[in-house]
Amino acid sequence: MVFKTESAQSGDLRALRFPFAVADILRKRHVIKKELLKQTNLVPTRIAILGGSTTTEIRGMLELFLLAKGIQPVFYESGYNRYSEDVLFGNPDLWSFKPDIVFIHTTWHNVSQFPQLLESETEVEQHVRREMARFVSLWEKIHTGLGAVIIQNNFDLPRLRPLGNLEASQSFGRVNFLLRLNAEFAKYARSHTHFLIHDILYLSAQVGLAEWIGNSYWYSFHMALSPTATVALASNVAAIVKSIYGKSKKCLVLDLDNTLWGGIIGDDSVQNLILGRDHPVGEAFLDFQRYVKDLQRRGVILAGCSKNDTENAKEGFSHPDGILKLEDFSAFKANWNPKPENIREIAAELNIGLDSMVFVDDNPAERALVAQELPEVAVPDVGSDVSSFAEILEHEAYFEVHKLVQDDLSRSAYYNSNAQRKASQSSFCNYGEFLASLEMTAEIGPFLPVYLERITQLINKTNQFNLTTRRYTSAEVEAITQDPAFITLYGRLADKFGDNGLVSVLIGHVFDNTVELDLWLMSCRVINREMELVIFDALIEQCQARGIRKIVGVYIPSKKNSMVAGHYSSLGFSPMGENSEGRELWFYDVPATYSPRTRHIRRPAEALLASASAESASVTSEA
Amino acid sequence: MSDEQNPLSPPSLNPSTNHANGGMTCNEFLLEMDEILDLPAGTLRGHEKLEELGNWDSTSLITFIVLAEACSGVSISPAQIVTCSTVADLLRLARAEGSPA
Repeated sequence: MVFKTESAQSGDLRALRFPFAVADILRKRHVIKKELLKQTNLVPTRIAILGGSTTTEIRGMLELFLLAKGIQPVFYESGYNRYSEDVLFGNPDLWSFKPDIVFIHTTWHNVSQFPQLLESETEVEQHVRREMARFVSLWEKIHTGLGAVIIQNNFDLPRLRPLGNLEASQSFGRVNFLLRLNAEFAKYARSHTHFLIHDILYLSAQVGLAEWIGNSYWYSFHMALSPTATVALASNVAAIVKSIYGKSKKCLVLDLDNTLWGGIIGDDSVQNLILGRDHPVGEAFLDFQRYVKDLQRRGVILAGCSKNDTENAKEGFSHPDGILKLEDFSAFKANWNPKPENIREIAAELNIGLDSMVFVDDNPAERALVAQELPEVAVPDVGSDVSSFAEILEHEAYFEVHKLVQDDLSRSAYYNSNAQRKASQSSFCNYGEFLASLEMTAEIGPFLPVYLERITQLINKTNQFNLTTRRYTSAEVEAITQDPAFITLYGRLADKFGDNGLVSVLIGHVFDNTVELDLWLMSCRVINREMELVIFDALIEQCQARGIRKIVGVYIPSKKNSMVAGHYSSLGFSPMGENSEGRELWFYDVPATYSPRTRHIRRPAEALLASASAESASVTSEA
Repeated sequence: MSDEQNPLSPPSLNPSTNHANGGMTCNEFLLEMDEILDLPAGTLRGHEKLEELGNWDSTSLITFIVLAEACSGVSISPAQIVTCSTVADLLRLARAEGSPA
């Protein structure tokens, strides 16, 4: 992989986009940081970097890449190679720092003991067990003592191979041993939701081992990585952190002509499009379509945006070799309007923010226009060579996810069924009749382990219908779930068109016969469907069951949550006032008898039973 | 004794004659160092002691190495920089004394 040493793009911040301009990033880091700190609404986070080597440079680069993703970190940094001692001996500085995230930056240099030559399989297995036990004790103590999400490097490979190719095949070979450890790390990750692997085995291959490790830096400063590798690593770790905070993108907006196929559908007609294995460029378009289809399968929403007559554009998807079909797109705009206008309409149609979108177009003028008119939309500089489109999207890690849950996989189906809902709505003159026609059922209940990933995901990415915009890590959500001093509620909603999934979350802490609502949010998928009413009904039931007499609602205004400014007022809460930070408090006296507010959502008993026995919805992928 | 011969002499800063190994002039290099160290342009003159510069840290040091290679084609090892005590020493390294990349 080639990292550019000079940015070809204007603006210092461009250096942080792939291909990374390493020299520019290093040289201009102070200017870049000052520029990034001008952003508003940065999400704060506390990250402890525990290093098996020097980490000062990683910290500096990670800060820049996180700021570029709207996250403002404060750091704790262990002493050189003190990653283990700081945790196992409970360094008070680390404990008082209270990290949200612990990043353990270890590399192959930190393996305590490699197998000896000709050691038996049994002896090698004992080495694996010992090494794992050492790391697991570290991870367990972080989890129980600090409650932080752990991001752990797996192992890269050494550049030198004294055994040559036998390193890979013999069980005592170092390459073989490191790959076994990596498999054990991955196995641990699959069964621990708070533990995430940062894949430096892949990253080092991507950068190239010769570029990955700088011997002179290692011998002089015990820096395990070269500057080029440090930048790549910081970008990759920042992508994981971004996904933890729900800031990954949701929607890929695609041009069609010369982006998904070669040629102009309106001029060339479908049979002359360059697409398929019989043409070198056609094969590249096919592979890009396959990559896009893979993204769609794992939950990325697709939208088409093309300057074309609609019918011509649709015809392009009838190409016999094409992988993408029209039905893969949740929104489709083919007309002669300016693309920024179309993208705005797509965002409104899908009910997502412009900052959730990535726009790919081979035409630099269209990219420039969208970047200029819609700065919230990510517009990667993909160039005009289709063979590099997917790689550029990959490097930017727009769609990084740290866990896949069933709701992600169903997302496209939801948006497609939503089009049916909208069509259905237009046939009713009375909105109540429309709601009744949806035949909605809700499953409401206290947080269940099976849903914690989705709940955490929703907490960290919902901005609009969110009364307080408080963010919680998965460890915090888990702790709250087990704490009787809290009331928790999740809500799932289904209708005759399909399952909307888990769409609402409420957390309140209980004190003195009162519950204060720390968090109440709802996915914009189900706005105006009475979902907030059914949650409120369930909250009242919980309060009555626990003898709670008063509910305190909290509203913290943000740039994006004005839609819920009148939420508590509309539910009949009375104002308690506003503090100096603009935090509004509302109260509601829990009545002895209460009539449910919901009119159009049923809560069947079987749904409640189902919630108690729900099977694992979490999909852990080994792919 | 020329600058190149005497490691203790700061380099002449004539911008038209002092090119760092065919890359930037010394003045340009000093401006780059200003930026690396987050100082106003034109602050550094060459005589400043590195240990007295607040922002001279390991990242600045690595930046200097990367920059010397990118802009002047000069490969400098971290060990060479550790022996430098002033900005002028760095400039001298960037100009000629490292091995060509």
